[in-house]
Amino acid sequence: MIVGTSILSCFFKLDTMRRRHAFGEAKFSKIKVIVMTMTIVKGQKVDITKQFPGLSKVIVGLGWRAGNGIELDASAFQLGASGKVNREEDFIFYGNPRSVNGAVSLRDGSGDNQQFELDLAAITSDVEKIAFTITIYDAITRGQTFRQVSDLYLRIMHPVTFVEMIRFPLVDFTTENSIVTGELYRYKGEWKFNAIGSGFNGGLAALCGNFGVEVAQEQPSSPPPPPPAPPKVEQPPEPPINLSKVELTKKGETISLRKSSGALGQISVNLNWNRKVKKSIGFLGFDKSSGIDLDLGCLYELSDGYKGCIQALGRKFGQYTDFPFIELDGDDRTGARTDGENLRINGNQVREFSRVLIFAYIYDGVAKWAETDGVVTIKQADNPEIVVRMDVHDPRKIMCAIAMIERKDDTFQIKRLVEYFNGHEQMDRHYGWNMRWAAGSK
Amino acid sequence: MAVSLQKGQKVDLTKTNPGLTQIKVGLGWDTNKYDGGGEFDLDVSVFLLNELGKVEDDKHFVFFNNPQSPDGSVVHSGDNRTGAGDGDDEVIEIDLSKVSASVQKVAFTITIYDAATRNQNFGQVSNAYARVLSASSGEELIRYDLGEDFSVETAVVVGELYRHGSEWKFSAVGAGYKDGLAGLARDYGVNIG
Repeated sequence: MIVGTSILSCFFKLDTMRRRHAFGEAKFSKIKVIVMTMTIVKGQKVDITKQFPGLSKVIVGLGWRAGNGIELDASAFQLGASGKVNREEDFIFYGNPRSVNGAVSLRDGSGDNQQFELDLAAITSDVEKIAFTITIYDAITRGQTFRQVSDLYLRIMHPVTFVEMIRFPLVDFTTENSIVTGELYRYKGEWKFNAIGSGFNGGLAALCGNFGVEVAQEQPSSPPPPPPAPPKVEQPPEPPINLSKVELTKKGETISLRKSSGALGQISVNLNWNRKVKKSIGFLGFDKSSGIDLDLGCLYELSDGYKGCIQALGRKFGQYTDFPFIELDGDDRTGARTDGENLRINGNQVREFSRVLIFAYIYDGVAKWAETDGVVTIKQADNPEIVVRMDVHDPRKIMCAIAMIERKDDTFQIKRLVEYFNGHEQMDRHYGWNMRWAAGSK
Repeated sequence: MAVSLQKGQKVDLTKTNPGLTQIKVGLGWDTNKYDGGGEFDLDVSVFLLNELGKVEDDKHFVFFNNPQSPDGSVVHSGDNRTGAGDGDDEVIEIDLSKVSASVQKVAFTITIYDAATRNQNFGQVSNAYARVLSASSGEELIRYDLGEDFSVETAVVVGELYRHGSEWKFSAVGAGYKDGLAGLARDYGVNIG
């Protein structure tokens, strides 16, 4: 259906004669063509690159009108042939607004609520389809659905002129709180668009499930966050994507624990890692490969200048309720325990602390950091989980400084480190603890 | 091993399978995986057509309200899912030896019931296919996956069995229409009330 026409100076490489024929136009300039906005309906499939030869980039704009208190987020899922994401990072959303190769990026739109810019030529070859979705933030808790959203549309525009080529008005939603607006997909070497306009009642989790993205928990239950750590901080998704989680991904990246009221309470630091159980193909059937033993520990410096180390080595487990207000729970020597190793810091005594350096070390065995996929998760009741992944590795070194927790007034700041050292002493010197070290065993 | 057809392709049926008279045509599809929107109700209908491409008698339009042709050659088994193989949403049983001499073509169609009211079309249906099976062995002889071809259509002529001399062939038609079953029936010469 043709709803409007506009003339533009156009950058399409095209056969003007064919255009003239197609649209019955035979005007003067070779670069002036008629482009028609095509309005499409739910279920309709249309050619994009075939219809607009030479088009290698497009803008996909999403727009809506929502009542007060309804927050909508646009996301894009880059999907493989199976209809699932090939990699978690192919899920483009506010926390991961740009694909690794930059082919898909999300931004606040001019003229639309949100826009995706797509470099079709650069999209990874194993991506067959890109689904554009809109979700209502915290919909289930707030009892909101797309019935409360009006004037929903998706439109596809030229990347340079912003002239609208395709428009898809979305209507007839009832109980859905996450919707797929449409999908760009490869077909015989071209890109086509399919107007989906359908959705799910189960929020972002249902949507993610449909596209193979793991979501641990939909929304944080903490009270409305004051800055500087709202739930929507910049955070690239890593499996599993947990929207109530803050991930420190770059060296030096820092976040402050915020307090809702009163004392900080317990701050728990968990180290977990991959438990390798490999199948042997021999006659003996299953064979457990030797587990890699990671140990969690910390160096601490109290506000009165006292320094020490807490770790299983030398049985320095500390204590929670009294000096030094840090305690290490047991030692998971085999990695068989699924909850890893835990360190608790007594946040009620925040003023006792100056800084705490969280580290992991390999007590014996080869420093196969890459195989262990170590993750440190820091939890405090009022805050989203803070995650630091040991995602850079140095197989020559047995010690990894993971995070620095520093007191700032009445709260803590957590900084990502993930730096490797030959041992305690080298790490100690690097961060200026300057304690005396001797070899020991546990 | 079944012959897999592309839209527009034609293939021998009885010539390559001598002695074959009892066949089944199974049709299947996937609909709405989403939560919202109305239920999808897809129906298979069969038209027994003469050399002009029309039904000679309204009874040659075999559908949910007329599950058997007068000559007994075409039987619509409704929602029977116990036919050979699994996954077919609807199955049509055909005895080629009983098909009236005036019938040159048997057309298989899928239509979306109440599509206009429910704002539904074949663009919202995925993995639609038709397959021809030997009724005795259950072997799949011909398969046609409709794939990418449809979007705003509400009725699809999937394929046709047609006489070629003394043999039967199958054609993967894959033609879509926007006026649902009523439009299709009218085109085939059925008197629609």
